[in-house]
Order: sequence, then C-alpha cells, then structure tokens
Amino acid sequence: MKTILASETMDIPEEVTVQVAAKVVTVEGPRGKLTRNFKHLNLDFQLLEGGRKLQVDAWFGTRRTMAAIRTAISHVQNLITGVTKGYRYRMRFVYAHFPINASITNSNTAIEIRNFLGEKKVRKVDMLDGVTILRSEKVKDELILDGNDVELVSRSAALINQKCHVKKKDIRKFLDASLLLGFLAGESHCSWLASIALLLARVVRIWDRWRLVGELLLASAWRPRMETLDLISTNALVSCSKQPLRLHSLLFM
Amino acid sequence: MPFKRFVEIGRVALVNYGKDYGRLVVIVDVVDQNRALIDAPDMVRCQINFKRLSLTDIKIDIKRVPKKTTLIKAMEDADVKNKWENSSWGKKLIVQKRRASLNDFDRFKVMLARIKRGGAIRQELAKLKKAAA
Repeated sequence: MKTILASETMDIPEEVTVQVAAKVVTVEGPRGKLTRNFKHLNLDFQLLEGGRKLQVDAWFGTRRTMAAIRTAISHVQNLITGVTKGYRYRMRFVYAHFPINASITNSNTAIEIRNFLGEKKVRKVDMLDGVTILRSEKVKDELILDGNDVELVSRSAALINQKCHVKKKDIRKFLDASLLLGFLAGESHCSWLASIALLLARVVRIWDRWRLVGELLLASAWRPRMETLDLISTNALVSCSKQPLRLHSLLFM
Repeated sequence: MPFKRFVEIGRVALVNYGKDYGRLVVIVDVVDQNRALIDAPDMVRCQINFKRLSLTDIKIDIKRVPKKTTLIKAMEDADVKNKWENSSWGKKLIVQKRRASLNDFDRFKVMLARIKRGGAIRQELAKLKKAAA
C-alpha cells in the first residue's frame, strides 16, 4: 500500500548552514564543510524557514522509502554534529605478551603497527580523507582518531581493527587486538567495550599463571622443601608484575 | 524542487491519452489513489486515471462535485480559457493544432514566408558582421 505523503522535519542549529540542491546536501559549520549525496533515495528534500528547518518528504512511498526518511535525517544530523563538534574515536591495544608497537607517520594520517603477536609483518593503515590519528600521551596504548565525517572516522578505526586480526589460532585464547574503546561526538562517551576485553585478557593471563603455579605446586609436592615455597611466592610475584613466565626454567630447579 | 502542482478539487488538467485527448478538464473529485472524477463544460462527467492527465498551473475555486452550471460559472470567474491560451503551454498547443490543419496551399504559403524571413535575417546578420569587422 502506498502512502500518499510521509514527511519529517528537523531543526538546524544556528551556526550551521545547509544547502540542498538535487538531493545533494552540503553542510557548513565551524569545523569545515561536509557533503552527502542522497541521489539513491526517492525523497524530496527542502529547506524551510530560510534554512532553519529541513523537511524530507516521500510521495507515494512504500514501507522502504518511508523508512529511508528518518535515516536520511539521521545522516544529516551526523553531518551537522561532525561539522560543529567533530568525531573522536578511541582505540586501545590489547596484548598478552608482545607489546604492540605503533608509530604514526605521514603527519598524523597513517599508522604502522609492528610486533603484533611478535610477527615480523609491519601493518600499515592509511587514514581516510580528513581523519587524523595520534597516540594518546596520558593513556598507555591508546589511539585517538579525529575527524568530521563519522563514516570516514569509524571506517578508519575499523580498518585498523581489521588489520590486527589473529589468524589460524584459537581466538578465544589469543585475545590480542586493537579495539575500539569508545567514541566521542562532543560530550557522549561509552568506554566499557574494550575495558572488558582488557580485563578479560588480564584475567586469562593470570589464570594461566595460576594454573601453571598449581602445576608447580603439584610438582613441588614431590619435593616438600622451603625452596619450593620460595618458588611459589616468586611465581605469584612474577604473574602479578606481567613479566613473561619462564616456567620451564623454574620447574627444572 | 518540491512539487507545485497538486491533484486537488478544482485543478485544471489536460487529458493526454484516450478519446478526449487534448481536452482541458477540471478535477471535481478523487475516486481512489489512481482515479479522479473529471468534468468540463462540454462533456459528461466521468472518471479517468491520473496517468491520463497532465496537471496545469490553473486552479479554480469549487466545492466537491459541483453542478454543471456552477462549474461553468467558476471557470468563467477564474478566466480559465484566457489564462490557458496565454500560457506558453497553451500557445504551443494552438500552434501545433494550426500546423496540423494546414492544407497544401497553406504549406506553400508558409514555405514562402519562411524563405522571406530567412533572407531578412541573413541581411541583418551581414550588416552586423560588416560593422564588427
């Protein structure tokens, strides 16, 4: 059933100017200018009240085209926040043993990742247009991607993430990754995603260490001596200080 | 960019397909999503598909399904005929009709007139070229 007319209106804030011509929307604001082409949609875009409101109409629309009205408005809203506040995506490196080395090259538009899982392969990721990347000074192993266009910034983050996938291994065990920690569009903030992953990695590491410590205890049952107790205590210290556990050397003591 | 000519009661439209091809009609009611009831001073009121109509800029002030006399009066008040004939669309249609109804002698006369006109244009152009050179 075709609905004769379905329309939605959105407000445009003061410091932003929007131009619409032939389904191409240009948004200009304090941070720059963004364009988006809606030619694939069968919608009517018009500016009302001298540019303060944007109305999107769908004439004789199916369910699909009517759904597209609100997505078009959301896209324009993203353009507006991109041009006023900008988008910042933060990513954390998560590793159990091999520290992930990242160097920012090309005046903040490319990143090179080395030593991921100890591999010799250098992974280079070029940021997309208008996206800058830098390493956070205050937080360890954090990347910050900044840009105006949310699609480009999030895609750059995804590109980095995908370059650091673990191959041919049990990914439940090899949890190394460069994970999206959260993103800021102005004030919004969500940071629990990779924190959980970090915690998980740490927990698994410790669990591993304690499992090995358990084995050590069993082994030492055969040699109940003060030295074995010392061994156990040094082991515990070692696992907490995140140094690689060279257990085989300890076992043979 | 948004639409300016809407299907509404009182919208004047041109029939572009079928038995009544080329007739100016008024939409007096909407039957459903695809069809309208149309009326004109010199025809019986009937239903027609929207696809057979081309909307014009002209709109008259009537209520839903008026009586024939009311309709004629409303069309006179809004001066539909003159507005149509003075619009560029209407003028084009009149010219097309005239050209289609020419007989051979008329066409001959048109040919002579075109040649004469072309000659006059070329003379003026030559004068201008000479002045510029």
